[in-house]
Amino acid sequence: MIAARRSRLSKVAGDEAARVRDAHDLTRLIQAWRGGDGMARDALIARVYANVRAIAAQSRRSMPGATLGTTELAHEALLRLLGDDAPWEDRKHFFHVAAQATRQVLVDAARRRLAAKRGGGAEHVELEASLDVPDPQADVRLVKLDDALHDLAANDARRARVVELVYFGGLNRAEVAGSLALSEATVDHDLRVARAWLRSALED
Amino acid sequence: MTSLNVLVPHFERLLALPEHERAAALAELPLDEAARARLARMLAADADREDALARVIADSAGSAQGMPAEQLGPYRLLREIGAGGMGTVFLAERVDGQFTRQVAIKLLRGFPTRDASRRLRRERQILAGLDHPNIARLLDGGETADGQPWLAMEHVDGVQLLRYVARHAPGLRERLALFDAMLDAVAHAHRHLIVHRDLKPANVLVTHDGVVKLLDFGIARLLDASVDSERRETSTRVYSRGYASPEQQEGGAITTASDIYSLGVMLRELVTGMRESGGEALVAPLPLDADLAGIIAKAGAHEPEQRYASAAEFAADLRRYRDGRPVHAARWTRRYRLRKFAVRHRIGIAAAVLAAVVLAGFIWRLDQERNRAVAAEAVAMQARAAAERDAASARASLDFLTAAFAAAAPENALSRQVSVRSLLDAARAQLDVQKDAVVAKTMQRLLAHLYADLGEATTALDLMRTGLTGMVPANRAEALRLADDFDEYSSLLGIADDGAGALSAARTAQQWREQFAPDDAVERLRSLNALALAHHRNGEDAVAVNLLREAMKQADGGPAVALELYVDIAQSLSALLAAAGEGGQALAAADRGLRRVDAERSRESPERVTLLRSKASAMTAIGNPAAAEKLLREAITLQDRVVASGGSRMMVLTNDLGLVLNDLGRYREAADLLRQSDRLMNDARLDSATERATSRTNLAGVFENAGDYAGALAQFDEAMKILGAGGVDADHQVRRRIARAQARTLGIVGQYDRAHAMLVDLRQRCARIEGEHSGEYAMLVFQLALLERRRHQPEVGLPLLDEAERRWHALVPEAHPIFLHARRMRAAFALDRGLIAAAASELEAAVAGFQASGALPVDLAIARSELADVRARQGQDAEARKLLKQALPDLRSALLPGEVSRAAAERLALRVGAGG
Repeated sequence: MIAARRSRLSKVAGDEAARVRDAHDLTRLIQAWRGGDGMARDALIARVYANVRAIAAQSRRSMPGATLGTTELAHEALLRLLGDDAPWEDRKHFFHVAAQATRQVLVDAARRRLAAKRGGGAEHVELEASLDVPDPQADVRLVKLDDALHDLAANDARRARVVELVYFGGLNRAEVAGSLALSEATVDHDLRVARAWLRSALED
Repeated sequence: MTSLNVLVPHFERLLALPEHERAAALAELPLDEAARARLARMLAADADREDALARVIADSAGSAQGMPAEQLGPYRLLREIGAGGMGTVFLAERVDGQFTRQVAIKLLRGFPTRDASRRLRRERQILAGLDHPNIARLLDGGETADGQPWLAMEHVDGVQLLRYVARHAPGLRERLALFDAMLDAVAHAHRHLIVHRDLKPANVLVTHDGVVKLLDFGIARLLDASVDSERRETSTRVYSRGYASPEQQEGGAITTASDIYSLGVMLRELVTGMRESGGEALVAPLPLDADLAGIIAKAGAHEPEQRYASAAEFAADLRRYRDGRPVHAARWTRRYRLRKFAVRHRIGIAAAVLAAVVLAGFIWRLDQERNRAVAAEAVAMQARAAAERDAASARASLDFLTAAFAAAAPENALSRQVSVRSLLDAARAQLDVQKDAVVAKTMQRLLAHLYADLGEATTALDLMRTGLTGMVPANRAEALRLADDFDEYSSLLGIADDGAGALSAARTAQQWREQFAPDDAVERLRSLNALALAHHRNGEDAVAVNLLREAMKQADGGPAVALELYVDIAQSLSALLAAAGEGGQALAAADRGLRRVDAERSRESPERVTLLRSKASAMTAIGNPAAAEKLLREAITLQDRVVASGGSRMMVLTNDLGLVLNDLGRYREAADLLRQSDRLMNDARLDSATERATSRTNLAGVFENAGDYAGALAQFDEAMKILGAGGVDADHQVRRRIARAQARTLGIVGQYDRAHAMLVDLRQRCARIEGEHSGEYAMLVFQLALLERRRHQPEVGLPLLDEAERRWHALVPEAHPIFLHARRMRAAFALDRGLIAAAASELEAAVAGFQASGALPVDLAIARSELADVRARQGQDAEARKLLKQALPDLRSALLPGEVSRAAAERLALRVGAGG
């Protein structure tokens, strides 16, 4: 039980233990959420949120300049936190939370950058030229997309959900179909309509 | 704008058409221009193969790691002066030009979660407390708009230690002097419970004046703090290999001994120019004699406990060396070898038990020296470490902690909320990875006690239940320990409303004590106390009081009883007596407990909290709410200062105070406190139906007193719903008390029949359960009389009032305000019978009585307004006006316009012209 020394191996075991613990915690939270506990939902989102950020921070550390796609980010967050053997019901709820959380992370970050832009604008100081320069237009577009998605959800909650699961949750159409109890053809059609609607909203 | 619902069907129809027909079809649609344009854009978007949504998301996500701002907080970045494992360093200056001094700003890697941010800020505050001429100060810190943390530190204009030595080639004495300054700085930090964790030459600068400055103190830990706690142990820490201690390299716990190791390596390098023997010299080497080699070897020993116990000890040995006296390093060698043997042969289980002991020892100390709450953070850190390491480290941490406590000064004190809680939470998290079932159960039970002490009943109950499953004692010592655990379990079950379970757990404890320690009088007291509480929880207060009286008698006359047990018995007895209306006896019991605490403990002792509360309840029972308020405020202050500002105990105290303020007629304040108590109840996750229902009832009572009857009735309904859902039956005393209060309010709003039926039912239950001589019975009779007063039925009401008064006389002192209220009631009945003079004389006596006893302003005001009414009936309008002028301000400040007494007084005022 108490290892004499912590070797690299035991460290990996520790990771595993932490993962098992996390998964256990999550299952409990997911159950609470399904039982109608709003706090549990917030706690879940916070967990995924933290996880996505941690992954993003790590990936940046190990691969300077590289950016993980959001889909992959969300996927990794999911897989880390919930074991493959979790019941589908739990996974389904979890996908929804993860998708919402990922959307929240990205939109929050974009809004913060935009706010900083508006507030700042003081003297410019020369810094290392190699630093990335963010594209404010990208943030504006994401915030706009988020708004459009909110509008869509108000009119057509299902299609908004499909978009969220695909674009922020990283689910494929079969998974979305399973998660929302729809046929794959319906998912395809929903996506087609919602995409066209959202894109046309972006061009407003 | 045309909505989605309108456009989608058109969109689908158009999609079904061949592409070239769409434009014409679109033009014919019965839509306005904007809608048509939107539809056209949708079609165009659909035709585009590129996934524009994915683009938008990826583009924004891609700029997540933008450039740092040119300005952080009040600092303008000037230029980058370095980059390392922990982030980038900039030279910066204050924007506002307040200080001309330049600072070094470290932009840390990664984005912490909100929890981690909070930890980071806390750590930062600790580090900012370091003030030493040889330590570069941490000045400020914050986060970028993105949430990336940064630190502003004193900028040291100097050269790195080894470069300085290479350049100036100082002699041994000078080099040791530099090193001595480093030791002094490290000793200072260790006294503040701060471990550097990354000591290396690169972190030591020497200024042009030859002053040594240590950089980055505690930053390594800060970096860990910036990582989410879940992944703390696996955080990607970058250590400087050559200087990091073995335990650090192996991912073990880091203590002050780790810094000593790094210092040892640096001393070797400083003198010989080489990090390890046989390496290549970087600076002009000096010969190393046997004594100095011994000192370096001791500092850099593989096992932490073989190194110098402190930087000060290290420095002292170096001083002896410089003075030519024999150094300690050599003499200790043999002993260490022996100890090393012992450590290697310690078996695993002993290690884990030791860890638990460390934890227990801590709490004990916290209890004893709570006002030196101090080392709290170190406690959490170390207890966690202790729980996860092998025997040697547990020992080392015990040593460390003892030293830490000794060294801790009040100025390092962190809030105890952080301390005890984080200690426990860390230890509990550690439990999850504990694989040895016996050890895990021991820890669970231990933690359960501690959480219970903090008032976190739900967490404690879960831990205790798991920790006790399948436990059977094998000998006396084990049996007594388990009996204590079962007592706690019983009390926790009681709090969770499982009265039968509580009783059964208390009996298990009693049985084990009798079986394994039949002659132990103190153990018998413990059983009595626990059983009494279980009976109380089971709704049998009379049984509980008898058991406690017996326990108190034995405790006063018999064996030397530990303070905690004595306090427990005294406060339980006092509280139950107060609840039964036996104020005088309750007061005596509380005072006995307090005398003993004050004789043995400081005024800051947490034991006083419960006794102060008991005494306050006793004061309320004897009709002295002002004294009760004072006592409760003292208890709340003490609880907040030495225990915690939340939790179930604070909830109870707040609730009590709310009720006392209600008694004092300060209804608005009372309602605020009760709402606060309700919040605390939620925070403490108390889901006991009786507690929650009681909280609602209290609020209802305050609403009622303030005249908001609809609000009160709503709260009562809610309370009854909670009790029903919780399966609390009609005989339960809490439910009966709530029903009694509800009947009273129903009477006020005119629902006489329902109120009457409820009161009669309650009176019959009370006669069966508590008996006719109980305070509860007297109260029910009084309530029935009051109902008849409202119904204007003096023939029915007067005999009831007589009976109530007779019963009260046997229970409370003559001066109790209840008798003055009885006079008011008599006056009302007299008016019903047309006996105006009799009514006047009763009310005159009531007014005089309220005045003489310094009663509540609102009670006096009501009595005066009632007397005014009688005066008006007697045709003495001037007298009525005078009384109303005295009464109205108090009525208006304490009562809402709808309250019956105030409403009647206002009507009368209009009639006799005493408004305003």
